[in-house]
Amino acid sequence: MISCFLFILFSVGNIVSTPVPPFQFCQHHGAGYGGQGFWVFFTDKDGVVFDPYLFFDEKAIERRLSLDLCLYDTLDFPVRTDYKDSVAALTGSSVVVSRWLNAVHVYTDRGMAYYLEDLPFVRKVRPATTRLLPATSGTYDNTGNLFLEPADTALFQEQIRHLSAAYFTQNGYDGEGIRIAVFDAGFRGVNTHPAFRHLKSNGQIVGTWDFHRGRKNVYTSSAHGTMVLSAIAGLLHEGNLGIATGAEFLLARTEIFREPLAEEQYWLAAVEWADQKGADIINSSLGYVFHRYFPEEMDGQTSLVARAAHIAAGKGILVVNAAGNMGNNQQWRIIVTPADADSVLTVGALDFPSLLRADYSSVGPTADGRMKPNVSALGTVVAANRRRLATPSGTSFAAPLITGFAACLWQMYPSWTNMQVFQAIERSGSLYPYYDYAHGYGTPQASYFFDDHTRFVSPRFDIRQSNDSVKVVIREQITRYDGGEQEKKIIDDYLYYHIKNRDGGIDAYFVVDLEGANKMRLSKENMKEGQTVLFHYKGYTAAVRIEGRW
Amino acid sequence: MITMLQMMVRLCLSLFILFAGYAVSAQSVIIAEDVRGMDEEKQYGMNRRHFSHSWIGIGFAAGPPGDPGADIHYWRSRSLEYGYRYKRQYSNVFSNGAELIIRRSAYHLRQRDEKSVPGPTIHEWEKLVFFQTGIGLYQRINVDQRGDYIGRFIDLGGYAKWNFHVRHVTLDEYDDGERVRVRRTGMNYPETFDYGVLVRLGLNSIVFKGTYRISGMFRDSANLPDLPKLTFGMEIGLHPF
Repeated sequence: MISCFLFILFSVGNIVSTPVPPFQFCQHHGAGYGGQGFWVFFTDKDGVVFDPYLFFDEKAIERRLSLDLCLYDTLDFPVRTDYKDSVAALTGSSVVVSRWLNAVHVYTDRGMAYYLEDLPFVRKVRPATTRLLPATSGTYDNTGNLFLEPADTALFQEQIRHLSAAYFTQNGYDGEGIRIAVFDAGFRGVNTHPAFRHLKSNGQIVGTWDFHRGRKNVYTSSAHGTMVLSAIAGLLHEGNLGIATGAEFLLARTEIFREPLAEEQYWLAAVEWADQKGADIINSSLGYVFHRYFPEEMDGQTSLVARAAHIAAGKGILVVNAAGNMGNNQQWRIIVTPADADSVLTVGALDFPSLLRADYSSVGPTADGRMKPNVSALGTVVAANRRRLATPSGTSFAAPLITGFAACLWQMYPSWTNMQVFQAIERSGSLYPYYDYAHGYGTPQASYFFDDHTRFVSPRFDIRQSNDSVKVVIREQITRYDGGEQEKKIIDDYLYYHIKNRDGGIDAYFVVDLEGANKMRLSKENMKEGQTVLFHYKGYTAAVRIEGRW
Repeated sequence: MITMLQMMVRLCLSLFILFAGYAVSAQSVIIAEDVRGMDEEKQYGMNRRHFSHSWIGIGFAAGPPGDPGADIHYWRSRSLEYGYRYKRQYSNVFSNGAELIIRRSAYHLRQRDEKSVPGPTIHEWEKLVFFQTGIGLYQRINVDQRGDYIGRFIDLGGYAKWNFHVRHVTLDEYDDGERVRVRRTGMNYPETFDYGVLVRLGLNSIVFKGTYRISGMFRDSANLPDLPKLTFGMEIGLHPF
């Protein structure tokens, strides 16, 4: 509070400019105008004026006050106008101004970039040539009408059921009062599709902005965002496509398929916009990968978007991001950014019907060894697209299922902070306290918040360690599936285990289908003394510490 | 010394243990990930110290011939290439490398009165096909900062190829309507080797290429005018992005 007060005094005493919007669009809206894209970071915000009550939406003020956050955080202060104007005059271009990064994005040539770096008020200049990839895996199947195909019925039911979301819907939790910002490539059909009629008639879409074209209409171009929104709040006569049907929405178009190098400034600007407009949750089904970064830079600190996501989390916003679809890309494999930020709830995708990691879903850990993804959800869903229904696949569609879940949970516990919601979602995971780098803590379960979640789970198995092996003996008889087209595995049928080293990191993890067997033997040949093996089976988790041979 | 009987006993024992093990635990491992070593510094990758990939390409002959007698049909005179390229990176800007190339290059000769390559005889159509293998060396300059992908680049380099097989093909139609196609090999006029310089402009896997052949295609003793020395074409890198 003291520092906040000092900021106010400091600001009032050094008035040199008038308040400016959080982001500004000038004459250029794409790469290739007048050179390459660069971020120009400034040294300070000395002397700027900032009135949060004029700048923020009422809901954004409420969020800050409820979380006891300073309303006069310098991060929210506008960029100094004289700095911005100087750079704009020198380059003839200024596309986006970021308050949080205290930077402007410009198009200029390399020589000018070097010149700018020498200006006394410029801290650094770095190129911005990143390509953003929607986390969709391949093409999607268009079912062709508004009625569910019999083949999709099981998927339709499972996409809500696997989160036990009926607990929310039957108890009246639909995300009402929660404002969700959705960043995507376009929302074509949202204004006309029957699955979103309730949003339109109730005025639940409270703001839209196309960050590429600088206009309000986002109902053009891609329908990727349409399908993502459907997985959050879509509603059909047959039932829910998403569970947060009562939430409010801010729709931001931040990605442009047709442009070869769509820049990360749109994502950054959208985060600040969402904050200003009072978003409680941000759903981002986008991620940056190899165009700008290396896998070893997925540490939550290197990329601008990860840092922006971290700032957003600091402002009380729950950021939910798709893990990415690089899981079967042997050059990359791990999560994308900003999903690498530790304050971002990273969602991996599960295959249907196995409910195990979909092969495209990016895996953890982060480059600095942190667990990611945090949780998982179905990656293939029935979703509304431009006019009809589709069954798209990708972590893009797992993330919005969790976003809807989070909205309902936050409605249930409105006094919780974003990080309390984050941690509660992790705790409700189907595997918790077990985790691995493919599924995180598993699939969040709404039942956790209604049943007695402190209940004791009776042991499902026993662990016996001998001189040369560790044996897991299941206590109950396992029914073996006969297979066939109707075969459906439930996630709890698998035995999960990971081997943890002395430093607490996972060395290896496994999922085993016991296929009727009631015991499993692990050889200790490749294990070391002091390692811990954590097993999970049907909600029960137990560990064994590897002892030395004798 | 292990006897045959001992070997049989060991084999039977091994099989018994194997099947007994399956009977006790008929589980299948669905996911097995060993994450040790994931944080090791990688040396191999598109924008790392070492990288190699194969590529395919097509090129079209261009530029004037040495003499009107060696004029060609430009659009039809094209080459198909397959190569394997290695790149060694020294900095974010500079790399160099080498490549192995297999190439089929066909020159469709114009059938005009002044034609002199490989001889003055006029045919329905006529082509010289060079089957080549060789090596290339290049210096690469990357022009932007990038992550783990190839990005935009300029290559400057040279190549040397061995014409391991040259074919002269003609088609003639006689007065009775019979069409006769003749393939000749073992000619004494093609050069054994050719060499030249190249420039490439690339964006990831899409590469535009131009080459200039310094050497002649025919031996001096044949006293034939040279074929066009330029080619322009395109390559596609066969790598992930």
